[in-house]
Order: sequence, then structure tokens, then C-alpha cells
Amino acid sequence: MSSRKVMKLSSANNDEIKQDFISKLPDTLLTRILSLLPDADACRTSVLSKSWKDLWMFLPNLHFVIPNSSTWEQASNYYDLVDKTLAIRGGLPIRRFFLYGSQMFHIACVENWLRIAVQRKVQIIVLRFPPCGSWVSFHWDMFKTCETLVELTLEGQFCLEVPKDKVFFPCLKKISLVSIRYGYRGDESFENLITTCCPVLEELFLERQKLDYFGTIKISSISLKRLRIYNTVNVFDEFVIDAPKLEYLNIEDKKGSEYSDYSFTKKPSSLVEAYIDTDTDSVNQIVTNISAVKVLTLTFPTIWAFNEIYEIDELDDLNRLNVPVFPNLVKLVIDVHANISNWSLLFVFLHNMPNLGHLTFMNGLLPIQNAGRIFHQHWKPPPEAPACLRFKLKEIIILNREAITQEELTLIWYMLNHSDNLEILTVNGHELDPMRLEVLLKFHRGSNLCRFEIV
Amino acid sequence: MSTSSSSSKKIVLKSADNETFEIDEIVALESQAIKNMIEDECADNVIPLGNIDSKTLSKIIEYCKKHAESPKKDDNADIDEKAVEDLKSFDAEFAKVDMPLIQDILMAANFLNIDNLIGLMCRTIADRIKGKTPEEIRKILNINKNDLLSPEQEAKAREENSWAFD
Repeated sequence: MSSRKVMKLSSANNDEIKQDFISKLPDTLLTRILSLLPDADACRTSVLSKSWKDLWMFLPNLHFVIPNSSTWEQASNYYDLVDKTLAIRGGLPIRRFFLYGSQMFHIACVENWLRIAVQRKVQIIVLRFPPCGSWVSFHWDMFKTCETLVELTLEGQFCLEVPKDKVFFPCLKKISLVSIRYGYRGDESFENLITTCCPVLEELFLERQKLDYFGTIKISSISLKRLRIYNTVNVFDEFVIDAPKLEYLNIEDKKGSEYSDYSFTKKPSSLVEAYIDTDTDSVNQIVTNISAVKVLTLTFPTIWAFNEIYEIDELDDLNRLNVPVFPNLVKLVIDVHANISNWSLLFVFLHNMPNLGHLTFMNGLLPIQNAGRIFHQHWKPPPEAPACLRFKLKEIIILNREAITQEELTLIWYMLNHSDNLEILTVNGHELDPMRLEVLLKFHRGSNLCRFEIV
Repeated sequence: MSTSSSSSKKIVLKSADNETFEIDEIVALESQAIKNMIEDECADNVIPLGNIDSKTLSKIIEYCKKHAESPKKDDNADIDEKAVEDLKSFDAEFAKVDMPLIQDILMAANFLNIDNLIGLMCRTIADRIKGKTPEEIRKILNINKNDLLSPEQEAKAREENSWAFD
């Protein structure tokens, strides 16, 4: 009964195996190795040898770039390659399907590939098409029964016509819409897309760089947790955000002459983290609505935009600024990447952040190129230090500076002097002047426990 | 019946060069292939392993011993982080061997069906060829020169995945 099995490896010539052992491993192992590499690294192995040539076709991530050729023949050769790849894989699942289209493409072919990807349980689809060229429109309802697709990126001139009350992406968690030009009734289609078409959407990235014929952009979703808007279209536009479960908000909106209007139908109380970089007049509304955050990054244009609205000239008038209180805020990151004229505005914010424990300056305390505005050498330190300094602040980090200027020393001195509970000050400066460092180290510290770390 | 008696049961593995290794059954069970043999009751006391030499086999036993001793992830949701870290640093040290041995271990692990070890060896190979040029990879993996593509074939392969070469 007991048939004895002798375990024996296939009896290939041992020397030959030693010579190029790896190419003789089963394809499943080789593709397992390749799938651990970045996509480009994995695809480059196609030139290693005959044994490796076609392995990339079996990888879970497929990356196709239709050549931007002038002839249909070249393009059609590439189509054959995609067809062949999809056929040769059989039922092997596809994890990620990336397609970079050229100006010339055959819509029916591409749609067929997408259908196959859906059948192969695709999880991520990235479709990028050039900004000019023909409009791209698919039968989006081919996705309506797809229970694997969780991430979708669309870039280019898409015609996204989404009727009301239709679910096209039942399981989609993340959508990125990059420089899309929408077709007819873009506003409505966009709203339908976000509100009903993706019922479990958690993350939206909206990037606008070109005119996309939008008027009002309504982002309304009961499931949305993360929202990132990158907007540089230089026309007036209006964003309406209705996302009660929002946890993360990132707005980069800078465009010079025109401005954007942001409004929130309800203050998102679950907000944990926000990054705001804008010079829009709407900054006040944005900042007021994000006051529940625990972690906040503000760039100086954002803080400065406050000043512009209220046309504050006299520093004494600063208290008129309508800065909200941030009761939960524990970490503030200040990115001084543009001109600032003084730190008074910063202190208005600090006064309203009673629980702040960590303060980071991403690019030092003032810009190296302080052109444009004149920095007020005579910054008047507030007579009463903000409560967060006196009671809560434990850590200050100053990053990304080559040196520390005399003006910056003034601010550092002030903060050290008034932060009674500070535990550590970290300065990342490559060319720190030894004299200034010595001055810095001798500063009176409000807290006996405070350590210095110079990186 | 009791688990203590089964855990103390011994299994003997015999390498290609006729060296024998006596190990606890629990260690041998890390290999899905041996596990199947034992379950099918077609394993004798001594399991001969055709083409695995003693150097490779002792490495594999070292690996299986360590992993058999460590608490399994799915056994207990909150196993202490120290054990996980400990296993991680063991794996990192274990993989610090030359490419021929890595290849031998991978081949043997695949044959014995030890999935964690296959994964570790695959990761190690991937790490060593990551970011390297095709020329460098051919050297690292000692790819057979007779198997190289013709210039036309190579040009075609580059064209098909031209985005990856930019």
C-alpha cells in the first residue's frame, strides 16, 4: 500500500544548471521575483536573454504605452502586442492596468482591453491620454459589475457623461482625475460621478491645470475620507465641499489674478489632517472650516492671504483678523516658501492654537530670497506669549536651511525664552555659522529640560 | 494523541551526498511537501532528498528550525513585536549569502514547498537586481551567454517596453 516516493529534482545536467540556474526556475518563481521589482525594472528584464524575454507579459501589473508614431502600421503593431499579451496570460489575474494612449488610438480596441482587464479582476486602472486629440469616451457601464476595481486614474480629454443615479464603479475607493476636460454638461457629470456613481469612494484627487469648462465644482460624498485639490486654472471658479466624513484635506490653489471660492455645506468635524497652500480670497472660509484638525500645514501665502483680505496695515490691528480657534491642533507645520514680511501673522495663529505641542518650520523661518517684500527688522514680539508656548509646546523643528540669519535668531530666542515646557529644538542647517551657533546655544531657555539637536 | 508526543517525533532527512539530518517533526512540517508525505503516510523514517546537497539542506533546516520556534502570525493576533523583529533580523542575516547558494536554496525551497523561504529568496534576488542595468543583471545572475538575444530581438524587446528604458 505504501508507495514510497523518492523526492528527486528533475535530472538536468548539473553543470548547466549551475551555469544559468536562475533562468531555469519555473516561470511562476521568476514572475514572483519580477513582481517584487518596480514595474520599469521588471519590464527591462525582457532584454536579459531568451528565457526572460516574454516573462513581463505574465506580471500582475501591465504597463502599455502606445507609441506616438506617425503611421497606423506602427500603432497597429503595438495593438497586436497588447492583444497577444492579454491572450497569452489566459485567466491570470491583472492587478494593475496602465495605458498611456497616443493621439491616434482605436477606441474599440482599448475598450476591448478594458473589458478583458475587468474579467481578469483588475484592481487598479490608469488611463492617460494626451490633452489634445480626439475625445475619449468609453462605455463606462462595463465597470458596473466589477467588484475588484478599487483605484482609477483618468488623465486627458475624457468625455465623462454620467447620468444621475447610476452606479458605474461599485467598489471604487480612490479616483484621480488629472487635467481632464469634460464633455458636455461637465458640472453635472462630475457631481454625479462623485455622488452616486462611486458609492464607496474614499479618496478623490482632482487636478486642474487647463480650462475644463467647469463652473461650479460640487464635491458631495457621504463616504469620502481624503480629498486633494490641485488647482491652477486661472479663471474664477467655485468649489462646494459636502463631505461629512472627511479626514484629510489638501488644497493647493494658486493662480494669480483670478481666485477660487471654497465653501463647505457643513464643517467636517472628523477632519484630522489638512494641508493648505493658497492665495485665494476664500482662505478664511477654508481655514474656518478645518479648525477641527489635529495636524495642519500652512504655507505662508495662506497665512498672508488672511492679511490681504482684512487689509491690515498696522500690526496692532492684527487681532481683527478672523482666525478661528483650533482646539484639537497638536502639530503645526509652517512652510515658508514665499515672501513674508514679518512673523506677526504667525503669532495670531499661535494664539489660537492652545494645545499645540509640535511646531515645524519646513523651510526655515524666512525665505532666503527675501525679495519683493521688505522684512520688518523691527518685529514687535507679542507682549504676552501664546498659551501654547507657555504650556504645551514640546518640540520645535527647523528644517531645510543652509544657515541661520540674524533675524531668525530673534524668533528662535523668543520661542526658547517663552516655551516653558520645551523638550527639544532641532535645527537642520548645513552651513551654520559657528558664531551664531554659539549665540544660539547661550540663549536663555524657558525650560530647563530643553535639548538642542543640530543636524 | 497528545501534542507533546507528536512534537517530539523525529524525522531524518538524507541529502544528495548521503549526509543525514535528524530533526523534530515540527521543524520538518515547515515544508508543505514533507507535511503532505507524512499525512499521506508515505514517508519512511528516512526521507531521501535527491538533489539537495548537505550545505543547502543544513541552511534550510536552520531556517525551518527558527521559523518553527517562532510564534505564527495567525496563531495570535497580538504576538509581541519583539518576536516579529527578531524573525525579521534572522531572515536578513540568513539571506546574506552568495548568489549560487541563494539559487540552490530557492530551488530546494520550491521543491520542498516552503513558502516563506521561497518568498525570502525571491525578495533577496529582487533586491540585488533592483535598479541595475541589464548588463549588470546578467553578471549577477550569471545568465547563460548562449541564451542572449540577437541584436534584432533585443531592439524589438526594447521597443515593446520602451517606456521602461527611458
